Amino acid sequence: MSDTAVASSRSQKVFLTPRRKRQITSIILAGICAVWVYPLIWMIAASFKPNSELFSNQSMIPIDPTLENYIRAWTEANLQRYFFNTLFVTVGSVVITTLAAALAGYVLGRRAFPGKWVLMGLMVFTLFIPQGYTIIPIFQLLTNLGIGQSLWGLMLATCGHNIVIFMLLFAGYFTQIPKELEEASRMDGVGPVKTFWYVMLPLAKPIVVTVVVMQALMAWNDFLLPLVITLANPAMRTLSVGIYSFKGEHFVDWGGMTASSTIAIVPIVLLFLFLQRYFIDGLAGAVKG
Amino acid sequence: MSGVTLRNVKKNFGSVEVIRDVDITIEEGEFCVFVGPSGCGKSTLLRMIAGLEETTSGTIEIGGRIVNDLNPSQRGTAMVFQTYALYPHMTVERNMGFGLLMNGVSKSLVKEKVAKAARILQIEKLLDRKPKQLSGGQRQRVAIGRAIVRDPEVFLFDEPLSNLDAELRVATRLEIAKLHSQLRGATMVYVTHDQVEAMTLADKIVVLRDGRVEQVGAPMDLYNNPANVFVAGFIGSPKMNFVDVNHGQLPDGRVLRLDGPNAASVATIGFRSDSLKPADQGNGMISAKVSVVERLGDAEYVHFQTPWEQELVARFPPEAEVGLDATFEFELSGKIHFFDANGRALANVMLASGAVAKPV
Amino acid sequence: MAVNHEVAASVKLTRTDRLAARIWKSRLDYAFLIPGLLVFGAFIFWPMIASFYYSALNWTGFGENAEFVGLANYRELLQDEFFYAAFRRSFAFMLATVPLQMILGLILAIVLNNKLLRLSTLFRAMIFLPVVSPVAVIAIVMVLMLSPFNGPINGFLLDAHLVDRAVDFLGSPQIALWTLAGIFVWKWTGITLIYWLAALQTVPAELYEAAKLDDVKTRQVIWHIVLPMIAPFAVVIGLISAIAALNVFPLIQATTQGGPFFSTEVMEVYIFRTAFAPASGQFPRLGYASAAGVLFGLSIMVLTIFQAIAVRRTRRKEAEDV
Repeated sequence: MSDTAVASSRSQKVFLTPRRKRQITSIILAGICAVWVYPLIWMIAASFKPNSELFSNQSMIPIDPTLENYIRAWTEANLQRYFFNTLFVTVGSVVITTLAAALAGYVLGRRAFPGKWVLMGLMVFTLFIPQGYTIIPIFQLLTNLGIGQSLWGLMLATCGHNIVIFMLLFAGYFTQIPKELEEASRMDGVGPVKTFWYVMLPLAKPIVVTVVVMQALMAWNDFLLPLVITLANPAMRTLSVGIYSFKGEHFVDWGGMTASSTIAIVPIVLLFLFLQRYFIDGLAGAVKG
Repeated sequence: MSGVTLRNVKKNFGSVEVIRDVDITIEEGEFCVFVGPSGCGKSTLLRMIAGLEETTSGTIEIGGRIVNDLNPSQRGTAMVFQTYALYPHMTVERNMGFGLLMNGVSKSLVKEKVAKAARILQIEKLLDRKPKQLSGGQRQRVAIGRAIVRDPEVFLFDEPLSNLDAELRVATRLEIAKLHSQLRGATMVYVTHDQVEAMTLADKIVVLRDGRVEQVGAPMDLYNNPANVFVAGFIGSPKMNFVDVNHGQLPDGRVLRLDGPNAASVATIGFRSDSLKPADQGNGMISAKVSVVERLGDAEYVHFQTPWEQELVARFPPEAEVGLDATFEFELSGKIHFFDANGRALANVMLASGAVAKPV
Repeated sequence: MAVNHEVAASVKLTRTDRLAARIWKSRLDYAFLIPGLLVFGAFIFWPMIASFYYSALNWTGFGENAEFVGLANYRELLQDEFFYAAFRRSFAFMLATVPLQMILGLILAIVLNNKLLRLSTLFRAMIFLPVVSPVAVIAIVMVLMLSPFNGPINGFLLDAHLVDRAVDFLGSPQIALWTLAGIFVWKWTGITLIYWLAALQTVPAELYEAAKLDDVKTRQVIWHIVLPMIAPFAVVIGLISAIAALNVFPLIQATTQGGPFFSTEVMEVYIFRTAFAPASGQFPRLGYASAAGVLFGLSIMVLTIFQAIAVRRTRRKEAEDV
């Protein structure tokens, strides 16, 4: 019986070589992927359609391509402002988060000091509290600090989202670096701050990139926090919130919305495509750890 | 340049004593090797001299200054790590000059010093490379270069050759010996578990075990006059043969006749492989059945079993062509070492003529 | 004995001194921690503590009109139909999305893990694209795509005669939540795929090769070798995905805002509505919303703890097997 099974599998191989199997797999995958990204492509295509054509023309390709959606979004709808708001929040929070997490992660990963394990325990504990449920105190805290309606407040609060994960990522990475490197720099008379800046931080480049990418992604795409903070101050909106300003009480400017959505999506997608490897390795690290 | 003196040095990790009351004097310009099995505390002792480990009690003096409370960088020492500890993201040049640059030494002076060290080590062409692009031997040189650049009074080497392959290890050993004569007057303290390295490099060997000094002396001194069974067994390759003597009897019950005032205290006799000479049938002391033959080209080491089933080893000339399972009789000639029940070496003992009855 | 006591006493006496000395010695470590701890304290730890406090207040959030009411908010919540409904929807949403996302991600990962598949990096990037896209944008795209008025998906379904009338995917209370679940899975499968791919990297290539030499079919290799080896990861990935599935607020707020007829009002939307966007004529109730947040946070924590126990159990079992 096993003989016939072997024979049949052999004869099968003649028709379906591994190579041909791979080609078929590739074709099926290409189909799936096309469907997968179709909505995004469709939206980008739609952003070049005039409002009149958006629902009448079922085909993806615009009959009468135009840039007027973009012009309207950028100039009239304050999108320019939102774009730079988002950029400020993203860049600011990336810089602060990365530095703060790297410094703390370095200490947590390599040093022994009183209170370390209490702190680690607290941090891991908070890891499991979903962010949405603490929005009220965050909002109140910012208000009490006098930055409740400002970009600075939004930017600082945005730093909080993933800071624990980032600190633990850095800590995990720094633990693996051999202690001889620090000892060598100690022998060289290099102080702890310089050792951190010139030796340890450059060594942690993979984690730095991961943290930068994850924080940028999060900050750029965040919705709840900017929504709450800018409820009373539309000038502070970020792109994610701002694109909804095309939605009026009675009329929705879909053309403007698709154009501004494209503006919101392009920078972050480009960042992803350029840093894909770091992105994916970094995110995968969350599971391995 | 200056010497290093350790006085009553102790080190505890928690309640574990890792260094127990060590006294060592290393003269200026001396090449001193700490040798011992792993876990004997030799690396800890080196790191204490470097200042990377705190000293629990006792004093460490470098060049006449007590350095116990000084930072590593203020002690006038430079260290070459077992793993080299090169900064992976910096070029060779920056690796070597990093410490000086960070301490505000002018760029041109650093460049000059790095260039000089690179010349000594013949790594001028590697200055722009990163450690990843270097071979193990080259990394080793860079690590040494980084030490040289600092102009230290004392060089500390922590098993610097153990990550190299066998061939490179021999070559680099020679380089280090050359370096020592080149940097006249530089005191070097070198840690290894390999007694061959110790023998070939050292002016002075310190044999350590369990955090204690077993013996200090020149290499041939330790080889010829080991103070105890441990040193006798540790120094020299192949390992010294030891045979138990129990109330004047060999393990097979024959009486071993010894002369001298300490003859009665002998509990172990030791002899190196070259002290065993084949004897005519019926005239030897020990009969032997060959179990393994190692042919090294310049000699043959013949491992054999005694009638009391102990493995011993004898050195034969290379042309001897000893076969497996061959049987021999050996007599002892040359230096024989005698030890008491505590493993201490005994002087004033010798084999009496016709020391044992012929083998059965 | 007496001597021992004396020794113990002196040790005790010096312990505080020694702790102080150790803290002083670590002062630079603490300095390094400051920025991270400030962010952590202000935006993670403090809000957690404050939620508890707020939940005992009757408070509109405007001015100093807060009134301490003890457990009244909790008592009221337990009577609140909308709270229960939102609670149920959050978990239903999680139960619908997590398994789907995990299975889909696993299948894609196994296919894409083949190193001989030349375009696998490209495919992976394409599947990952929705992950990096802002939810706000995804929402707009999906509202347009799924529109019952000439939206392309309804256009396709009508042309293919799969439906007779345009389906109002996001506008009908019966299916809106499940439509959102579908969108959610589409957006996040990419990240599950990456997790699974990472898990698959732990299967040594020799195992595939050994199996191939033994003439074992691919399907059998996957079933008998690969899946058992990556099974321990399933728990971790499940945990991460489950927590993510509870953070669905942006998607829902940007599409249906909880409607129609509250049919998509999950817990976060409920909290947001009570705290910030009450129906006209009602006051915002920050204390009440905080209480809802605390209750839900606690239930998630219980869930997490169960899963953490499961993780440890599988890890231990694995260790025993080795």
